[in-house]
Amino acid sequence: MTEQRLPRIAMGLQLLATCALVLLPLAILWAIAVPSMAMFQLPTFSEVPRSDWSLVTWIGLMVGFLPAVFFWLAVNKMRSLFALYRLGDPLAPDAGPLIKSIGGNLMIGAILIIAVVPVQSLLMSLGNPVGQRSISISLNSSTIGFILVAGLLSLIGWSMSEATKIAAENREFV
Amino acid sequence: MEIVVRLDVMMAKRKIKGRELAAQIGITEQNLSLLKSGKVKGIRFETLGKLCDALDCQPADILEAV
Repeated sequence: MTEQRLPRIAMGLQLLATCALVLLPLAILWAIAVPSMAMFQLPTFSEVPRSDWSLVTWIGLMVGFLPAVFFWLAVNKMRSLFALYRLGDPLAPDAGPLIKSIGGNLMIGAILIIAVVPVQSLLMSLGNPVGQRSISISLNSSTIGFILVAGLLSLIGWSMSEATKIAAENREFV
Repeated sequence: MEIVVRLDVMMAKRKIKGRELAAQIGITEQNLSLLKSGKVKGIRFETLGKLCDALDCQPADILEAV
């Protein structure tokens, strides 16, 4: 039953991941072109009139998209993983390293989400007179949850790598 | 010390063909061939037991340390 369902579910998820791979860069381009769009949480940038944007503001905006690069990489690996699962072998040798890589990319993305806020706030207030510059740090429960999930995925990937090694060794026994 | 598989000798003694033996113990002919040539990492106790049953012999008749 599971063997039959796995390729079917994997096919759907692979399609979803492929769509996400195409849509994520488009969404970023859209957010850059129209920063006031509510789909991205860029209130700081949308409040500044576009005519007042300096090079530093643009750099601040770009820095905000850094985590998305790693999320895109993670989705790309997810797509490869789903393609592998479509073949119906969850213990394929490449599955473990792929899950580990997904976890790693998500972890970097999550850490960058935390790191981006101080960098952005500093860049945004860099042009202010001395005494009005600021730096802020933000950490919320969803980011912590994200880090935990990324860590969990890395560990699962690690154990999957071990499991695939054992499965490969088992196949050499008659 | 190296372990050598003497399965082909026992099969010749019992006058049993590979296809027949493979079917009897429930493994593929390909795996039996790999086992005969010693190109496997190991043999499960279960397979060894079935081989001994089918060939009416002891594990030492199939495996030999040289």
